[in-house]
Amino acid sequence: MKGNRSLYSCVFKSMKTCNSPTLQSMKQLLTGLVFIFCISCTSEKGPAPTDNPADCDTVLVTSTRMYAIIQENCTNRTCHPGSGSPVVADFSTLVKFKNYITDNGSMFRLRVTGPNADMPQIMGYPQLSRATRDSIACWVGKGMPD
Amino acid sequence: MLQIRMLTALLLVAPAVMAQDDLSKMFGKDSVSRQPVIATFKSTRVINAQSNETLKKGELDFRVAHRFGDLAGGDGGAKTFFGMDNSSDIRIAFEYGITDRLMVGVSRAKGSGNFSQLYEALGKFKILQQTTDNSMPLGVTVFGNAVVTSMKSSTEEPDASYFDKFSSRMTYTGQIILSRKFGNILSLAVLPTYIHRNRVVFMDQNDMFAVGVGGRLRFSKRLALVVDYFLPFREQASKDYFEGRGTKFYNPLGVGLEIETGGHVFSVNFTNTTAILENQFIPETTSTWKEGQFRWGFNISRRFSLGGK
Repeated sequence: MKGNRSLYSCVFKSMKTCNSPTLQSMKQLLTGLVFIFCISCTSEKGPAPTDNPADCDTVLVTSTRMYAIIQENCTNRTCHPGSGSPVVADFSTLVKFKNYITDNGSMFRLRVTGPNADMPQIMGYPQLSRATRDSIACWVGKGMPD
Repeated sequence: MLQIRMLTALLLVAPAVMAQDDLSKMFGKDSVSRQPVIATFKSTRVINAQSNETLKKGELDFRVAHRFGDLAGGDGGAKTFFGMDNSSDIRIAFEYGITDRLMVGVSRAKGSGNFSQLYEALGKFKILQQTTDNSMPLGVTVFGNAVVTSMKSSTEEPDASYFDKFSSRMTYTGQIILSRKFGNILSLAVLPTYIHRNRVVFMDQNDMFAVGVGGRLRFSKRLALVVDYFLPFREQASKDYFEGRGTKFYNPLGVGLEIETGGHVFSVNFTNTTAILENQFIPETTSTWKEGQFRWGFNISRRFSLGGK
């Protein structure tokens, strides 16, 4: 820590107005940030996802259940209602939701049910669980039964 | 692990010490003939990449960057007005020049990729400046940031957004920007880059190195073509694993037109990256130009002088 202190002194001594309160504050801020960085740096990996996460024969895959998930997580906000963004992914009715999947299957797989799915993306809500995503994938795989 | 932490910390801070000595030697005795080359780039960013430029002392830069949706492909075309109806990422930043060579900043980005709701703290230091007499042929600048996501945690441990502790939310970038201005027309930069993500999904990489290149070709006093490209070094086993699960990673490429209008620098660009921050667009770009997954974007910079010399 003593070494760090002299390091920062060297940096800030080079500034002509080293003693100004602003620079002193900046010095403290920079020191704090570097300290936070050093103590907060970790290297962790998530566990391997289950290879056969969902048994599509036993999972409840009905349109009612699937669309309830979509309404709760996708259309109850400013996204995907048909009037907001994105207009192409209009999930405002079950029929439109099914039509989107039919027309954009690969995109839906990539962003909703795939291993690196990133939807729902914003608004501060949690991501869908892997089990939920797999259930949706099963439903799509079975031809989106009612 | 400790070495990596210390190395990155040093990358962020220590070069400043050497820079002082070097600059004293360079400019102290012969400062008239060894003038620093100015305006290698017009902004602190090329498109996605950082440039060698820093803010002047007392200068506040208010920046807004926006990336729209896919211009073509399945999610683009006329039905989304070529992506204009969607936004993939938005960043709003305040950056400030502490000295003529040291700047700091904070930003908020929507985020695109594994994490959203991002808060960034950044620092950038100009170690060496290219000189007009070529005694220093290159400019050397270091950039570093720390980014934290405030999004809610997933309940599933394999997910990237599963945060069992605060540090799992953090990612970092360390970058060296080597730049050179060739006459008044062409400027180039090479950017060796290191990304660290505290927590990643299975078979992803916590540490990733990449090399970026950026260029600016000036057409007129106010108009220039800007280009940048990154080559991330992802392990083959990781690529194979993700490809097997339907995800392919692509190298970020941006092409744009930079317009300078007084205190504003405005760049209109196209890029295949959906994200704006290095922490995301270097390791997590999964969209490709070849399938129309590139997008309009713009960077606006408005500078205010809050003090002066």
